[in-house]
Amino acid sequence: MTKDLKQKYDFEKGIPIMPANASAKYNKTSSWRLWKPIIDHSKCIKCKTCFAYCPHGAISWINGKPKIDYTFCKGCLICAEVCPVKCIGKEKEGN
Amino acid sequence: MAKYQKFKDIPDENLLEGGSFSCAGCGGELGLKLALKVLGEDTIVVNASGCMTLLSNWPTSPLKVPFIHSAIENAASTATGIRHALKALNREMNILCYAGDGATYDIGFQSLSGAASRGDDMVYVCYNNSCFGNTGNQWSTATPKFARTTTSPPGSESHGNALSRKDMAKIMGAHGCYSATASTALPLDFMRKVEKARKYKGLGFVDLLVNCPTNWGFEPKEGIDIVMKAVFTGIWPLYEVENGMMTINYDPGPGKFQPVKNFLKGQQRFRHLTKKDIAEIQKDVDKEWELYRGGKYWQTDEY
Repeated sequence: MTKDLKQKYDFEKGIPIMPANASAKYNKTSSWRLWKPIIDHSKCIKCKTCFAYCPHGAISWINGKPKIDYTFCKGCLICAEVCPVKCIGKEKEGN
Repeated sequence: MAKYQKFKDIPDENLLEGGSFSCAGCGGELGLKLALKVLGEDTIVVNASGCMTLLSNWPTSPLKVPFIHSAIENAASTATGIRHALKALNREMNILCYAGDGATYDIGFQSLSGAASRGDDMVYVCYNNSCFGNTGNQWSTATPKFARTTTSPPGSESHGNALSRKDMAKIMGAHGCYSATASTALPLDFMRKVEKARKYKGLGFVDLLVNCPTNWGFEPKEGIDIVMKAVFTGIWPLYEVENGMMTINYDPGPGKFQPVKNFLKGQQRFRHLTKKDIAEIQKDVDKEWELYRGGKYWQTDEY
């Protein structure tokens, strides 16, 4: 991991270049998860509440719909708790 | 009309992406995400040592904006330096100071007070989890009465923290700058306050109560609910101070707050409380709100 990033060190100026999204590329925090939230899109009213409350930026808003990125979701289930129509269910990890 | 009235007004782009090392259900990271949504791409984040330092460790960063670590006592001074450097370069950028309650209430207070008195233009958000969370739940002056921390443990002689918490937003309001309290349970309210702090010429201070599942002791999913109850029981008053005038943002009226028991019962740090302790906390909260409703916002010596 550090090998290909080390090349991005700016030796002339003496500063490291930290590429945006580097974490998103290398730190896969999905292994922390005990419960997996699953959105039922047929019941979703697209109110953006889960998107606003997700602490880890794991829910993105694409084409007017919420999408959970399971590579980073840590399974805190805040989204399921705050959803006004309770359309986010959970599933035990590792089944 | 002010911006951010509905959840649908929140911008789609996330400047804080996944892959950070904060605990699951971290309120501090939620606060940073929301603040960056308001301030936009043209922002420099200055961080005092704390939980959020874990976010951005070279060579990885979940942020799409520059992020500077500073020591725990000088986040505001670092931001002042950046502001002056930007002035020399003729550039306009937002500066967001994101520091914990230990770095704001206790250790970093002198640099923050200096920056506020000088009127340096920045947004200072204190993510307040009411303890030194990163080092393992030590007592800070933001810790509420009777809370358990590792340096104020309950036992036969003690009932946890014996002191009341300091009201930082009032102290910052007395500096003459914009100052407000907010909570992660009400993101739109917080975003409106950050927007106001950004527009304010000078230091804009927002004290943000965040949910901390690790140190408060609850399931991560209950976090938003617990912070919501802190507002609805009156323990965490929401107010703004502008030009020395205080506005209360949420007050349902005398006797209409939920009992403080609702806030205390879900958390392990309050598990040792007796009925007498809860009655004492309730009395303190009632007294505080009596003063607010009587217009005596600044007489903190009475409770």
